Amino acid sequence: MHHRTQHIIDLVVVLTHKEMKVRYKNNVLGYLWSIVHPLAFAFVFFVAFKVVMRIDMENYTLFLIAGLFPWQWFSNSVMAAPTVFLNNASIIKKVNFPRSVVMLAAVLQDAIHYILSIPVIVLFLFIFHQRPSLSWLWGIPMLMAIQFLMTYGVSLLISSINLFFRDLERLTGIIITFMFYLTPIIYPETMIPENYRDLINLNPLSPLMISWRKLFLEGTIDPLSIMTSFVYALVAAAVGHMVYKRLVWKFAEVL
Amino acid sequence: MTGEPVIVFDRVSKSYPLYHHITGGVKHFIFNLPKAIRSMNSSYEVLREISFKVHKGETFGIIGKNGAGKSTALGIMAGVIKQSSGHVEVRGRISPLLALGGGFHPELSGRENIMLNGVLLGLTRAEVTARMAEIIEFSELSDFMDQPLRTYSSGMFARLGFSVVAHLDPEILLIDEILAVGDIDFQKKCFLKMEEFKKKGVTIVIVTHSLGDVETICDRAMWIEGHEAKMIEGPGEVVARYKGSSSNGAGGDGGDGGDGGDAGEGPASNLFEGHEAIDTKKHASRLFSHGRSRPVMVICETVNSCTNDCVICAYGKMTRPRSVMPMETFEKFLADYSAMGGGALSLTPVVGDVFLDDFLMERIAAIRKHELITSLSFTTNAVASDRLTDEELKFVLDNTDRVHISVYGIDDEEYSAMTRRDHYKRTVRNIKRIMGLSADKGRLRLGFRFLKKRDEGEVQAWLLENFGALIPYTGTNRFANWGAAMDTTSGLPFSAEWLEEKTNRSQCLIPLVACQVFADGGVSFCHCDDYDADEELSLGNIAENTLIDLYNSEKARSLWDFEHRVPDFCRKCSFHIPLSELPRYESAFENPLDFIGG
Repeated sequence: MHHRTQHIIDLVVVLTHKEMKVRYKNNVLGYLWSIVHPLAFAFVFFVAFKVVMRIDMENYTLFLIAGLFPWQWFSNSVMAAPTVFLNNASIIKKVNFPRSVVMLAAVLQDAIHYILSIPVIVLFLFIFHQRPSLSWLWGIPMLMAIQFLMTYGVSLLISSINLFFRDLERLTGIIITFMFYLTPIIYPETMIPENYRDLINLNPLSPLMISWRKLFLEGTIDPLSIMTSFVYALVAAAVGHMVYKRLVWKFAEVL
Repeated sequence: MTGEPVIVFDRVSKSYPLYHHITGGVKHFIFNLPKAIRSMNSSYEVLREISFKVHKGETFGIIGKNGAGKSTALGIMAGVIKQSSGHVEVRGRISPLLALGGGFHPELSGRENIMLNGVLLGLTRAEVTARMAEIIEFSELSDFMDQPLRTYSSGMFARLGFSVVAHLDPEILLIDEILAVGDIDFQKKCFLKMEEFKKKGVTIVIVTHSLGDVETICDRAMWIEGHEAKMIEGPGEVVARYKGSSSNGAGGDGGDGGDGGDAGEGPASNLFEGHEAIDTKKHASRLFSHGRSRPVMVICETVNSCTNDCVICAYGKMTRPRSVMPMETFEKFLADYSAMGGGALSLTPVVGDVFLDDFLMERIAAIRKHELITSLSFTTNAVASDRLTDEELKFVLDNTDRVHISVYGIDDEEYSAMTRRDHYKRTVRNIKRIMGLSADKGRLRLGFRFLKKRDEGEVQAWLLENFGALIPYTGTNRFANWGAAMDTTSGLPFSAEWLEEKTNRSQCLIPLVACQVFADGGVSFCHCDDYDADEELSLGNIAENTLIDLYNSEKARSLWDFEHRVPDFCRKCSFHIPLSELPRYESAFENPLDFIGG
């Protein structure tokens, strides 16, 4: 393989390994802890919507878990994005390497973590007397690729701009919270009043999250949702990369 | 200069827009809109039309004051910074030598860090693996390879960093001030490796403040001043002219020799360059030792436990183990301090009381052997002074030039509310005893820390009533926030107040007066409220390095660099004094004791 390509691959591998190691530290429970997070959320929403507000849905727990786990990947990556370049200031200021690999490694690390959490979804399926479908075999890689592209694009955009407007870091948390409630994760899209329902597709995360849930719960792949989310992902990646390209030469100056 | 040029700068200029108006945040940007918009078009020029060539196999030094643009030039060579105008050509693979800790992660093991660093610097994983054994051997750290890096000392960090770079097979090596770290043996090893590189035809560019290094290893040198290349010649000529022009040379024979002659002939390594407020010529004898920078005095914490637990003190927040400095460490400290010319010494702990130090007598005896240590002082609450016999206490007092006693109130209620202990009567009794045993009462000072509002008359009446005499004193009922460790939103008892929290943005002058050595031998950049030996201000440990090496280290340099960010710890420190106010505090050079208290 060409030395340069190999080097970039190795950079991603080494940096991802670093991120994984730092995340799980010497902590045996490290993996469990990061599973606990979405599970705790699921529990909170279960109590709030099923127990207290009595949402009229069967298997609401499963419904929550199928949506919260992929969301967690997106939100973890994006929430961490503002500081990704800042945390690597010392090397960015000295060494000339493609800075985007730092982001690639960060998102990849969250992706790996997401894969590791899929067995938990399977476990819950079994608890509710359902089972994984064969369509997962191609559905999961496809959706992962789309979500990876989307997450990487958005993260790169935020991370690059944050170096110049540091307030973006705080804004990101607020926007993510908005997005979470505006995406059909804790409620099904069918519950949205008729006259607003079409608006849901204006939210780039909606078709993707709906696709994940359909895949996990019904084993179905909805081509329209997937195409829509793919287009959104492409746009996110393109915009993210464009902005990054415009700004990257100044990174070492502002860090 | 026979080789072909591998680095060519042709009329290269670099200006930075004034980003801080933007990076200050949206709020800052909006509230200062007119200024901010103007600043978007304004810029700061760092390099102006610089032209030079570095030839293959040459070792090229770049010298100049802080902020002259040296590091920017290096950044442009490395390709991380883009020039604003002019033409740059670099032929060959560039290997930058990362500054201390850059490209390392504390949670990863030594081995994993070698991999990380190697790949960041341009090798593939297979290439690093092939060199792993060699790198580990060179670093002499094989026993520590599987430990996480956070357990390494700064000296070990530096070794690891250089070891990786030494095995990169660089074509062009960029070094930004790295030779000042590590112990002497390892430094020698680094120099040998550099010689080896030179023989192999590696081109080396060094940015440094160490003029000695420039003279010994460089073939040519460039002096950047006022953002322009002032001179490009052989290293001898450049160094001579540079010394002649700047205040550097003034520090040449700053330290007064004594037994510290081995501190090295290395000419000026001036931390204070670029800080116009500091008159390095006038204070050369106090700010330089053998051409290297030093603080006016040093404060050594020999013990960090205390009899009291004052409501105004971060003592309760300290996570460092409570300990007493081993005599071995103390002897090493004294030797280091003498070697850098000595001067005033204070034994005031950051938190703690000197009378709880079991080795106090031995320490004072040891200090007496060091002629260059010209004065001794400490601040105490006097509570534990009754652990000493009359004879012992007299010995301590006779050998101390300033005893500063902090008094936490002049009635029982106030004292207990402040110290959360019941030592009021004991304190009064002990101060009386100290007065009685002091041969020279002029050496005593009292510092009142009041919770209640007190006027002069009250204090003087109290002094006369208890001691039958007036002792020079100061008093306050406004207290510092210990670098924002204290919750200043919750009030203090009676009428005491917290000093308002500041938002400091500039270099502080306190580090110039004194640095602090902690009970474990750790050295802090500043004599301040660094109660927990904050990593941010830590320069390393005297067990690994000499005190003056630490004070002149890369880390210290970055803390002194006024373009550099203000450390988090200092941002809200209520003791902060801007360096620009130095003229008002100049007496601290002559009499640091009055400045620090005791």
